[in-house]
Amino acid sequence: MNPQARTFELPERFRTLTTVFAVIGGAGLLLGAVLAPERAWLNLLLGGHYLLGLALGALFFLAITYVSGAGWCVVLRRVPEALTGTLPVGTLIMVAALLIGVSGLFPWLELTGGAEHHDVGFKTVWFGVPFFLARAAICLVIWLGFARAIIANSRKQDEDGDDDHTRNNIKLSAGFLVLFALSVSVASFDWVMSLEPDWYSTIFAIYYFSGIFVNALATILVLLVWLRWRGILVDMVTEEHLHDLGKLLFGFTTFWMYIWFSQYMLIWYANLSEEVVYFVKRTSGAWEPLFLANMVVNWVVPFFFLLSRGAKRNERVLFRVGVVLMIGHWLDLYIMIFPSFSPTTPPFGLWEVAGALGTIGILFLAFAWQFGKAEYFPKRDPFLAESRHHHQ
Amino acid sequence: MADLYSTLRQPLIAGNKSLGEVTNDVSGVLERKTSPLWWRAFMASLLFLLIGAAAITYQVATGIGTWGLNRTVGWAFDITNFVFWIGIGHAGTLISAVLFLFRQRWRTSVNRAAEAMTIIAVMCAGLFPLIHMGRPWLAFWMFPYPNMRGSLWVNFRSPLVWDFFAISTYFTISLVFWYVGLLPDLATIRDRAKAGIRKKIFGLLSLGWNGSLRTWNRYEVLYLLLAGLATPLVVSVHTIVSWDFATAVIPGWHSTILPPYFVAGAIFSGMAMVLTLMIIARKVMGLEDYITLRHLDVMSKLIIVTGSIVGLAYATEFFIAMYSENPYETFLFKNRALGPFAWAYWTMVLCNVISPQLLWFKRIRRNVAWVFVLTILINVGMWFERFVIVVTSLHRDYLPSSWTYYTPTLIEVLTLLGSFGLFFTGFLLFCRFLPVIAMAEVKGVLSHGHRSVRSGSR
Amino acid sequence: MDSSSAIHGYVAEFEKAEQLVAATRRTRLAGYRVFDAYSPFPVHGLDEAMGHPRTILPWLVFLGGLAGGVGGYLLQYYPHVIDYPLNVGGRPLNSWPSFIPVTFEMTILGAALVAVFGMIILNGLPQHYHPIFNLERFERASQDRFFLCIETKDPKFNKTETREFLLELGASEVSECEE
Repeated sequence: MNPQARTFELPERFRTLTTVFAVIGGAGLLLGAVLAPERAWLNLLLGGHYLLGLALGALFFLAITYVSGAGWCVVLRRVPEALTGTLPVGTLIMVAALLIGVSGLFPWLELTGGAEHHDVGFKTVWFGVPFFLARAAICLVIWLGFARAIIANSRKQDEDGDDDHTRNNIKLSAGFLVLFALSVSVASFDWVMSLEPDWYSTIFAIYYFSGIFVNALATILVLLVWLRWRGILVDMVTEEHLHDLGKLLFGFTTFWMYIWFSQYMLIWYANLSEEVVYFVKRTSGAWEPLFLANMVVNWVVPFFFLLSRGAKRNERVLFRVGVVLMIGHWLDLYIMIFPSFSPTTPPFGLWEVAGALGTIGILFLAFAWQFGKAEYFPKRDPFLAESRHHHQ
Repeated sequence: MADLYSTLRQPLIAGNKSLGEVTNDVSGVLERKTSPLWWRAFMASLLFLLIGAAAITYQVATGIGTWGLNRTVGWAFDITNFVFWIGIGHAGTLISAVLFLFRQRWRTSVNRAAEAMTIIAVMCAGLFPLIHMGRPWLAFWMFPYPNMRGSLWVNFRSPLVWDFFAISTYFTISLVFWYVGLLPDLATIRDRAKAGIRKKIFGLLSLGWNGSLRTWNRYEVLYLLLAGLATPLVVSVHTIVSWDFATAVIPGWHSTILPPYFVAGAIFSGMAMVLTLMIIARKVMGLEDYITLRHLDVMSKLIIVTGSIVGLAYATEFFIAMYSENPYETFLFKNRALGPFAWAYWTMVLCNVISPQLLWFKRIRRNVAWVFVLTILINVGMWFERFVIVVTSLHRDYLPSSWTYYTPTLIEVLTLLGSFGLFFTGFLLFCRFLPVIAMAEVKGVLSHGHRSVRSGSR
Repeated sequence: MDSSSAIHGYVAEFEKAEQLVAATRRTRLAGYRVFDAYSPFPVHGLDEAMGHPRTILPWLVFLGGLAGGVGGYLLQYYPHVIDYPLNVGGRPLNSWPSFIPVTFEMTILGAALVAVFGMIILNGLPQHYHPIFNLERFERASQDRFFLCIETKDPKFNKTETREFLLELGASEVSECEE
């Protein structure tokens, strides 16, 4: 009844191009490590957040669809699964960024190093380097473990067709979601918010999460459309599936805007000196246009382009909006990370180009590697029939 | 149709009902004679409502001085009750709009009652700011219109004005959403009624609905659009309620996480209230085939989700208070957990964070008595959450000489009881005179799921 | 023709939703144009079977939302910037972040009210009279039966042929509905 599934290989020209990107990225940042260590490190950190966030966002997508018993997305599940599979790559980059960071670049190191001008407070303990690294290790191990187990169950089902794999994944997903909420909170405070060590915002973890999830949805859509243009999953993934993903993307970009606005408005309104510093930096000088562009790229564009029903069912529109959002997430992270080191001018040069190209190259190579490991769709999933006959 | 569904799916409606049976089961409740049980419940609720009305009359005639407020604690019971009731309402919109968008078809059995609950809860909530004004007859000053008071405008920079717009929009939209959903069912009642006053009333209410295809077509588009509009609306309402606090510079109130945290808390408490009401309603009205154990199970899961978000928000606030190394923030949170209102704080933690963890067990989720008790605890806990946020943030402010304690007066307690009276009176009237279950929607999902499968998967 | 002016059309009654969908599709294929299907709940696939264009409601709603949003912002801009500029807490007169909430609420209100009243008006409700209600059995259209009515206004309508056609579709009963 089901068409025969097959496995994937990256087209030759595309493989060359992405490899070149990855090499440029790697070489550029290595060179940067010598010439401009701080800039290179920031770009490494940004790339780590981008790739790790993408894999985590995809894993979150898998987990919520399992837990909610969603059947519609089964035909396209191998795409988020493959993205989740890239988690070890993002982990490696993040581990490198963190290890380099604690060796002298994280701005809070002065709190833990010499305690001359600072009383021993909460941060002195919290940012003790061993404790910091232990937290990071726990987060990464949790994510890697769940990613591996959930993907393995899904792939095993292709062979034995056992419904128990689905049941197990539902349980694993519920567990993952709980630990995810905690670990992402810790990770976002430790790895992003701490770059402005005196600043704090309780919503920050949710803000970080909304960004990675939007990016995961956008990337899933972009990859899916791209695969379909290459003749893969063409008759499996229909307009209806794209429409649903489009609706999710539309909804979550608006969610991102909501969280962004909540954070901005409350800090603007209360106008407390210890809090507004964050936005003062980001709205001063040449940062301001970027600050405004962030809203346009991440919300205005997707909102108005995806508002109509037709647009959400049109793969070209979805592809373009998806690409805009992938760039938008890079910009969002850039605005989170860079101003604390360069408060007046947004630095953009060789290192940023190398970092961005490297991220894209690695993303595609890692995705292709993972997507090639299994068949195009979970051919023996108990919900496959529902998913194939999915309509509104 | 059914063989498309995975064998892991179970039917949404138990008892293998036919279309006619659905109509009879639901409409039958309205067509039978009023049961003595209903009368007893109604009279009790009405009594509470009257007590509340007397209390309100007294405080409006005498003044706000009848409350236990003082210079330090200038906001307490009134705003706590307001936020509590608004929060209760949110679950109704979640079920009717958000779950509709996510195609959670089980919602059809409970959405009508949940929406009714929303409307009544918003009415209960609206009561409190109105009384708080002290001169409720001047409430129309909240409307921005050119006037003879020197053309004095409302201050749109004030979250209290945002609140006014949010609540009135929310009430309006909830009401029309509910009414639109009722239309086809009102027609059913009309068609079943023999000629007479009943037929006239329902004929009028159903606007001459005939269920033609074209009508259904626009109706479905409308329903989808309304769901799409109500979803951001419901989020915005509790968000704006949270801004009543979060825009201030008071530690404990000014926290950026408040908007999503309040929204999750609202749905958490509302879902608990829906479950409390549904557990009673299915028993009293014999609707066990429609509101099944599976419904309790799924709604309990939603309670776990939203409750965990609330728990995470508690933890985040506590953590950031320490992390900020801001002495006022740190003091505030220590004072919450260990100060004179520690009893309220720990009641909140126990009811909202600890006891709901029992719902992780399927056996408890499917046990009516357990779920009933746990949801009542959550309702208590969520009331205390608002009390803790409002009162503990105020009672020990920057100036230790003005530190004080707050105790509600009898009038305040009676007003709260009165709002419960209003709530249950309204809900009982709804149960008696309107179809409690969305018949047209239930009929649409009858063929959903596998009937033959017995194994208790998920 | 004389006697047909007194009737609204022929009504076929079905017991199952699938029968109604199939019947509607065949009626359209047979060349009938002025007919309507009635059901107790929205039946999947009927839209396509009947061949209606999509409703314009979403566009009206978009305009309603736009009007509500722009109006909502102006409602705040006018008093605070033009009519009665007042420094509150040192914030700019046009403090857009604090105008967003009301603007948002008004957007939703505008869109939703247009949606509801749009549906009611486009559907011709409230409808005081409709001939289909003259059929006594039609009271079950809102309960558990599905009806298909081919109206006399249809150019292809013919008393005997239409009745036979409807019976052929598997209707459990075909009756005449008075005007």
